[in-house]
Amino acid sequence: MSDRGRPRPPLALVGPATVGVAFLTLPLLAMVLLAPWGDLPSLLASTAVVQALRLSLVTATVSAALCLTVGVPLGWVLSRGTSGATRMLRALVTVPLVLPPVVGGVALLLAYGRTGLVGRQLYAVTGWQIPFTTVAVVLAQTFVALPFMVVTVEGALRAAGPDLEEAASTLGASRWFAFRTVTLPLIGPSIAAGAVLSWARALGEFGATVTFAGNLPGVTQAMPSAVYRAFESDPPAAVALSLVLLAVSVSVLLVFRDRWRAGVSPW
Amino acid sequence: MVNTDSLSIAAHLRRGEFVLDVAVEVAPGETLGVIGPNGAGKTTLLRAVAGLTALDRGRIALGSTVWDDPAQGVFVDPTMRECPVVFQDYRLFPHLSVLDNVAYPHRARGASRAAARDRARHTVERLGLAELSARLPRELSGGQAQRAAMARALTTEPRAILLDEPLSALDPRLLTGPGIEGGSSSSRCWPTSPDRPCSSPTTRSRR
Repeated sequence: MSDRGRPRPPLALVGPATVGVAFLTLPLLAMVLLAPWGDLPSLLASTAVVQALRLSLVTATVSAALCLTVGVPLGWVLSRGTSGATRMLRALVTVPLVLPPVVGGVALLLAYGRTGLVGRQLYAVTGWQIPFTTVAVVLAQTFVALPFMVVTVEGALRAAGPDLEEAASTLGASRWFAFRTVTLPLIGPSIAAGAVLSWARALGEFGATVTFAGNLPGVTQAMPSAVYRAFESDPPAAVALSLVLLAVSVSVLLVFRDRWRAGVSPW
Repeated sequence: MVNTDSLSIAAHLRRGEFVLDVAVEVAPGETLGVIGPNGAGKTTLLRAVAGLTALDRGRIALGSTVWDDPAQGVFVDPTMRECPVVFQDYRLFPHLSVLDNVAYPHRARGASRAAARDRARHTVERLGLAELSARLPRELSGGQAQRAAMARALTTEPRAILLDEPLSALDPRLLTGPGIEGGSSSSRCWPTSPDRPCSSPTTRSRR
C-alpha cells in the first residue's frame, strides 16, 4: 500500500472529524437533493426573485467598493501603527466581526435613523432619512463586511513589513508615491481577496439589513431577506433562491481558494 | 565631486539597554568602513544617517545641510536626504524588472517613465547589468541583486550612499582565489559577483 510507513491518524480524532464533515455537508446535500429542480426556471424567472437578485448584486457590489476605498487605507494605518491607540482602534474596527448582525442593525438605526444621533440632523436639514431605503441596505452590508477587508489588508501589510517602503523613501519616494508604486501592487492579491470576502459577506447580510433597512420588495429586499420572506409563503421559491446563493458562494470559494492562501503572505 | 563638503556624524542613540555613541567625519571621495561584531550598532548608525531612525542626541549633516539635530528640532525626511541605502537584503522591488528598479528613483523625482528608463539604462549598462535588465529580482543571483541595488542607489548620482554589509555577496572567487569557479548550475543560489571594477562597492560608496 502507498500509505505504508505513514503514521495512522488516531481514531479518537478521525471519529469526530467525520461527524464534523457530515454535519456540515448534510444540509447542503439535502437542499440540492430536495430542490424543486423541475420548477426552477419558472421560480427563478419570477419578478420577485429577479428583483431581489438584482438588488443583491448591485448593493453587494457597491458595498464591496466602499469597503475597498475605506478598508485599504484603514488596513494600512492599523498595520503601521504601534501605539496603544492603534491596538484600541483595531479592536473597535473588528467589533462588527463578532457582533450579532441584528445588534449592528439596531446600532445603525440609533446612529442614522430619523431620530438617531446623526440621522436627526440629516433629517432636519434635508428632510430625507436613510432607513428603509436602498442606501440603508448598502450601509448595513458595509458595516458587517468592512472588517473582512481591513483584517485581510492589514494582515498582508503586516506580513510585508515596512522594509520596501523604507527602501523607496531613501530613493526619494514620498510615502504616498511609495504606497502607490510599491505597497499597493504587492498586496494586490490580498486586496482582491478582501474585496471578494467583503462582497460575499455583503451578499449574505440579513440581520442588520432587515433591522435597519426593512424588507421591501424592490427597494430593500435583497436575496437573504427574500429567502426569509418566501419561506413563509412559498417554500419552493425559498429553496430555489437558496440554491442561487449556494452556487454563488461555491463559485467564490473555487475562484479565490488560492488567492486567500496567497493573501496570508503576499510576496 | 559635486560638493566638497564632508558628511559629519555625531550620533547618540539609545534603544533599551543598547547605546550607540559614534562621532565620525567622512571627507568627499572618502569611503568609511564601519566594522564591528553583530549587535554593535552598524545598521543602527546607517539607519540614522539615512533618516530611517531619529537621533536622541547629536547631529548629522552633509556639508552645510543639517539632516538631524534634535537640539535644533531639525529632522530631514529620508525622502529629502538623497542618500540611498543598499540594504543587506537589497530590498529590490520584487514586482519590477531590474531596469524599472533602477528607474525608480528617477520616477520618484517626477521623471516620466521614458526619461526614467533612459537614465536607468545608462546606469545599468555601466554596471554590466544590461543583459539582466528585463529580469525580475527573484531571477537574480545574490551578487547580481546586489549590483542591481547598487545601480539603483547610484543612478541619481547622490552625494553619499550607504552600504549595509556590502561584502556579504562578494564572489567567492575573490575570497578563495581563482581555483573555485561557480558553474552555471550553482550560479542561481551561489552569489556571483561584480566582475567589473566600476561596480565594486568600495570605490563607489562615497562620491
